[in-house]
Amino acid sequence: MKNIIKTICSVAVLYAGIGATSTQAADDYKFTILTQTGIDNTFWQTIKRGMDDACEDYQVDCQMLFTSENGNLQMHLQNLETTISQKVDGIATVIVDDNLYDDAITRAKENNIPLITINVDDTQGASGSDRLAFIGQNLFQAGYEVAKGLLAGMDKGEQQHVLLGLARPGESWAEDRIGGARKYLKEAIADGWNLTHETIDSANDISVTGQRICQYVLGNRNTTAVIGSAFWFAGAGECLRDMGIKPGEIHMAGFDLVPILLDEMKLGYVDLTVDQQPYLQGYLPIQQLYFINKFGLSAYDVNTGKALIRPEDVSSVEKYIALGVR
Amino acid sequence: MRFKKIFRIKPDSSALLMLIAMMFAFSLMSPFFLTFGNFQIVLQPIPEIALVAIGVTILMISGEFDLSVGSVFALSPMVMVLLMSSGVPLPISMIGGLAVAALVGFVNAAITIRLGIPSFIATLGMLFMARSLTIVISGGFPPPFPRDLDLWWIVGKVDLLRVSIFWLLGIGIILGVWLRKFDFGSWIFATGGNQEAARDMGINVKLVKTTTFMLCSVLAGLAGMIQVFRIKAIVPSMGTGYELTAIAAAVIGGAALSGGIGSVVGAVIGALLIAFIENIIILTRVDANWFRFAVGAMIVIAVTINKMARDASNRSKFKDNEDE
Repeated sequence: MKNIIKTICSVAVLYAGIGATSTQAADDYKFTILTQTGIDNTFWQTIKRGMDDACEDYQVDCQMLFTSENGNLQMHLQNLETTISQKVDGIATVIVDDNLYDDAITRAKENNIPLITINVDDTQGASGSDRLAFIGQNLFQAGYEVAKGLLAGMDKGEQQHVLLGLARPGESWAEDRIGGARKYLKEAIADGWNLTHETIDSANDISVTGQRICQYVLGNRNTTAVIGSAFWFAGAGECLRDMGIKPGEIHMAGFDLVPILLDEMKLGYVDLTVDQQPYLQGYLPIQQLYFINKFGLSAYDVNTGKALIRPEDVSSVEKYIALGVR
Repeated sequence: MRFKKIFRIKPDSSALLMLIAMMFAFSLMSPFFLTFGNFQIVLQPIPEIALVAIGVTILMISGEFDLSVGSVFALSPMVMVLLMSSGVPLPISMIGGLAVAALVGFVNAAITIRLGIPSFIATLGMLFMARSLTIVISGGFPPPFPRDLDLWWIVGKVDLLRVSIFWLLGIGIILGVWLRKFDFGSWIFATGGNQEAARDMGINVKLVKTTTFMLCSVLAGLAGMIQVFRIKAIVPSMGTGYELTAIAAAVIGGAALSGGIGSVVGAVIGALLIAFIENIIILTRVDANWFRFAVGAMIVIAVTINKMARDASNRSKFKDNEDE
């Protein structure tokens, strides 16, 4: 008896490693969205909200597959291969490594399963894999725009030192954003800005990222700006205040809309953020997959946003954040 | 000879020596290391990770592991914040959050003791379940943390420090005395050292382990609350990976993976050491791609030196015994 219970518990533990949420519906179509992040990623909950709403609107059976922990690419690939073998009617997934998913995506194509990438695409775009379309932010371009927007509020005549916070070194979404920011900074230097910049591993945790940024600023007092590759950099606001740094002394910018980032914007420690509208990244792929299956329409690329949100925009977006759609 | 004796009696003494040596070395590596501002930043999150490390250490002394502490670190404050957002006063919300943490610890203990599942596996399952519950109860969108709360009594600033460091000191002293001076503390060491012998001596091994599991979870929950109070925000991913940091801190602080050895002071020293290692790597501007390598290498070096120091003192002990 004890052995049976042990076996049941072990199997349960194994299955607990895969976070799956599903929306049941009457229609025959079965669509799956996959990501390499864990279920604790607030940003992905908004994508899931978009998926849930689309699945209800079009009456299809949807499932979102997370991984047990953030950045587990092997589990993500395994989930993708399992989904293909289930012969679902459509797949939407991220591509966070240019080579890892190529075979699986080709297999989906061979099995006539339409596959769209969302949120993060192959860095080679359409030529990098057999995916049909990409719905999401042009990450490199967004990073470029963040750096451009940030420098627009700074003094060209002064010496500037920009810290670039790379949340997950080696993952294309973070590398792309920081790469875009770095490109603009280099252009700015060529344009006559007296500017230096440096990149650190800033981690993906509000507390840890905040600590690392503040420790860096302490050791590099000439730091005048921080660009984060996501929203975690907002955790630096609290310790910057502790260090006696006043609003506007260090300019900060990054990505996404989360409450702590908007709070720091109101307090004057964050200059801008880019909203990539994750709700659309959940809603639109389901809509497209439905039209592909139902009417034979083609998939199409959608850039879900490079809109810069500044402190004066906070009040207008907060009500939508409360609804879980931004 | 006297130093060797201290090493033998106190498992954390070599970690303390190493902390002092590393702080000296780090001060030579960066002029910013031994500054008021740097210590102010580095010490801020110490109570949080040190409280988790203390809980994990005491549990390891009793011969068990808890991999779910990182998830409880998020679940417990999430319960608290949700209760607060529905109008429940802060103290009762805190008690509610800690009660959930205690329940998680109790379930961990029940699965481990009653079903005979190794705690490594039982708490690995709980790691996923507790994290999932954190998302489920918040619906994926945690409520904003009320910024206007008076939290001076727990995270207020006192010059270089936060009040939370005094909470850590108070809790650390109480638990340290409890471990060393009270019968129950001796039972924890006896249970972890040799469970069968402890049972033969009449120690209620199940009670000891259940207590340490629950204590470990409650400390993780409290630590999570302190972090939420400090950064004034709650995100479901907070505490991810803390279980490994806490175990590393416990081992650096002299706790044995096999049980029966460890100390509260050692856990705090281990947490400090890891924080200072990260700190010096940032201050010396290590490249982003090499950052984790550098942290990992420094931790391995720290544990290796600690082990060599203890092995050397043990060899001298045998030599002393032979001489006698």
